[in-house]
Amino acid sequence: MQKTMLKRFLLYPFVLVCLLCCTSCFEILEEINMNSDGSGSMLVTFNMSKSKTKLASIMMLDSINGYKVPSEDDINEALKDVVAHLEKTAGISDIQKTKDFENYIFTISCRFENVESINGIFKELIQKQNKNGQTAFSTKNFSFEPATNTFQRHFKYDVSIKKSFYHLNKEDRKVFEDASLTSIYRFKNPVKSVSNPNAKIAPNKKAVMLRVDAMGFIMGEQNVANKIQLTK
Amino acid sequence: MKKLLLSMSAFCCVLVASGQDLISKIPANASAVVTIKGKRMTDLVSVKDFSNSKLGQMLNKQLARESKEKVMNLEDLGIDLQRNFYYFLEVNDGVFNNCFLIPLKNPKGFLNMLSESEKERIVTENRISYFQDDYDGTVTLWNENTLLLILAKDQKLDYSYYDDFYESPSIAIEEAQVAEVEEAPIEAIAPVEVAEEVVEEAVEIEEEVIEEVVIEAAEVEEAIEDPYYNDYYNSEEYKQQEAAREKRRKEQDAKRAARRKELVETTLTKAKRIMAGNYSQGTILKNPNYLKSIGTGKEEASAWVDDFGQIYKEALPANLYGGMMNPYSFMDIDRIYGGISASAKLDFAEDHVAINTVYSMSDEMARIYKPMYEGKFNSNFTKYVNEDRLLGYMSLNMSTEGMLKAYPDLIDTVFKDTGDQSYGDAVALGTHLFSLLIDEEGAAEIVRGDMLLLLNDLQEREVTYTDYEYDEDYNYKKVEKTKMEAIPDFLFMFSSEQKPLFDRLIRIGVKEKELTAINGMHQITGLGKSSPFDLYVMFKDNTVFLGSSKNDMMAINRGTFVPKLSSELRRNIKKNVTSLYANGGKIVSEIPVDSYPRDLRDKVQMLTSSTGDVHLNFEKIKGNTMKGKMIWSTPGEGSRNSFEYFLNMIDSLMD
Repeated sequence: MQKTMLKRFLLYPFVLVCLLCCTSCFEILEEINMNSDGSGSMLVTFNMSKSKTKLASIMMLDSINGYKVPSEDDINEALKDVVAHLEKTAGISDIQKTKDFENYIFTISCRFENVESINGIFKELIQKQNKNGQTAFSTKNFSFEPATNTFQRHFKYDVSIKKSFYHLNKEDRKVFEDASLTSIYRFKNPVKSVSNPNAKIAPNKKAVMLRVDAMGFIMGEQNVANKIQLTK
Repeated sequence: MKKLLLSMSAFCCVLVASGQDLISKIPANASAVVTIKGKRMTDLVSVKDFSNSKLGQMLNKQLARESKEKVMNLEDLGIDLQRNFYYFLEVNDGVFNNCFLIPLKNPKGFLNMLSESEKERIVTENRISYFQDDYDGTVTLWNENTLLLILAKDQKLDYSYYDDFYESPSIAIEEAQVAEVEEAPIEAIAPVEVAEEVVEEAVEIEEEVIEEVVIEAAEVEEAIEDPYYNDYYNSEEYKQQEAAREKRRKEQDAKRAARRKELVETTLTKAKRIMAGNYSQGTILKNPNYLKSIGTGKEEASAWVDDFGQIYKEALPANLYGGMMNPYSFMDIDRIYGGISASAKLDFAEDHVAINTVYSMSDEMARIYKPMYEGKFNSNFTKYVNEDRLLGYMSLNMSTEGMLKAYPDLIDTVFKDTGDQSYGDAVALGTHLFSLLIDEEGAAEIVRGDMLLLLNDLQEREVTYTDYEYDEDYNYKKVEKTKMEAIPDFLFMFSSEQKPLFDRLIRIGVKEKELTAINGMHQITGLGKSSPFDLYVMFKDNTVFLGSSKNDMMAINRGTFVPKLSSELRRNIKKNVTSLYANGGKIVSEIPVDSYPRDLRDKVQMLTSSTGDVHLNFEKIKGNTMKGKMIWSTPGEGSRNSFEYFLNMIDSLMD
């Protein structure tokens, strides 16, 4: 109660100035280590460290731009839900999570039996989005064909992404200005070719990195889709 | 005498002007009037200059599109921009009439804006033309020199739902049953046993309800499979109920249609009456409250709202005012809002724009409110302001003792003490107890009611963040990088005479490891490492200090703080109930360029040089009025006045 009063009457003006002055951006790092048999491990890192001053300011507020600000407890609960969801997904095991509220870095990692298991993680979520948002996102995000030794990251741009972005107010849009998504895929077999022109193959031919700007992704100028041909 | 002469000359000016002025069409009983003075506005920026501005060009494009290129600019629209424009509100028995009076030079221009279907509906009679929306009654009526638009909103149509509610026989039966149930236990329960029994009953009822709900839910599930359940919808009983419901619905629809028709007719009659301007009670120029609000008349726009209490009464249909469906029936609206009026004036001066507001209230409310605003301001506060670094401040000069003493009176006034559904006695008892329990003077010793919040300069601070570095095989490692961020420095002060209480709180804070002692003050450590600012707290000279700058707090503690404050800001802080100041140019220049949206980053220089200071002050209550003034300085070079400044600013931002 006292903390809320203090926030309202005293901290708000300064927190708001902090919000005005501090930059905001985030980076999502998606890392997959594939074994020859199609199994592997996955690590997703959500790094908001560069915006930590702004986030620390936001966390002092109850709401911002009409959105409720989640507390540390809310974030912990959300992470627990993600872990619970992963535990229920067939073919997913060894789930680990880390949280760093000082630097605002959160990670979730797991092992998968095959890439279909990864698709299973998001299937329900995408189906729900397609139903509610009348979109047509594919539930197949990853595929691996052992016969041809081809790994694919599927993604078909939908104009609803741009529309959703423009539905946000100007202040919210700023969050995406310097944000990025980085994918790193590692393989046991050397990489022969990649289809995405922005993807880079490591000199040892065992890894592919693709960095996409959030704005390029939202506007449909950059895509995460990639077909990676491995040698046999 | 001087005041009287001023008022009389203003009155005469208005009367002279009213020969051509559309104010002669506003009735004396109007509840609100908004005036935009065309001549004063076009003197500030000519129609030609406005049309050449980006905003004007946008408007021209819009006009051309809407009129299929028959109207290419403001001039073609046929509106007389040299005369005054008015909006007024007339409220009668639940009907809000929003009326717009627009002076015309030539109605042809305006006619070009109408759609074909609107043109087909035009009726011309006795030198006036009009068309009306059959559904909501909106009237557009004009003659050679005046355009009148009335948007009427009938509250009775909104409240007609309640007619259905009360006229429904099933609801009436249910209500009667509820009333019986409610009355019975009250009579049966002895006063001493009330508390215990109520709790027990509540638990029992809750249990029963839960059981019933579960049973009912199970029954419904079973019933879906049950042929009897399906037969219910084909039963005679159900059909009769349906027929009764349908009959009631049709009756209500017919009633609403009749009300709508009546609204359409009365709105048209009203429009004709306004256009003629023949009022038995005279025009708004016969309304003494309005005349008082006119002042010198040098403003570009003004707004006036008459007695709020009267508006409230007129706003609710007669059958609802005082009735149980009135959501504020327990409040004494007359005492709270009666006699309250407000006026505002917008003045575009050469180097600033000003909004002056006057808020008047009844004698009774002024008597209650006055002690709340009679705070004594701690002069020491101004010793800790350095204007060279100041980005802005907010001061508050209230009296805690006055507030606590006025609170019971205010609450007693809010709640009625008449009628069967009155809370007046209970509330009066509560506020009396409150008065007995609270030691107003003691509370005022803890927080006196005067406070000052300063936003000092933005300090660049190095912050670390985690990034990733990749080797050539895209293995990565976490690295710590640094960047500079601007963090605001602030200082908050409030008067208190309770040092022992403060010391006790500090001791608890230290014990709980929320506070750490540093050089005669305490740092609040509970904010966390990633907090954007540090916070320090200190008690000195009957003042509690809370600040984010360690240096400032230490300087205050040692008595080495160097103050600098202009007499204008000092006066504003000390004399007003509340005062706000923002140094616009300094704030804009100190916010890091990267923090602006990308499309504004190359305009920061322009914004810095052309953003002025903003002052907002509310004076103490004098007599029955409270005055407020907002001034926005407009230092833009190349602008002849503040109105032009805003147009130029919009032009620059749209480039």
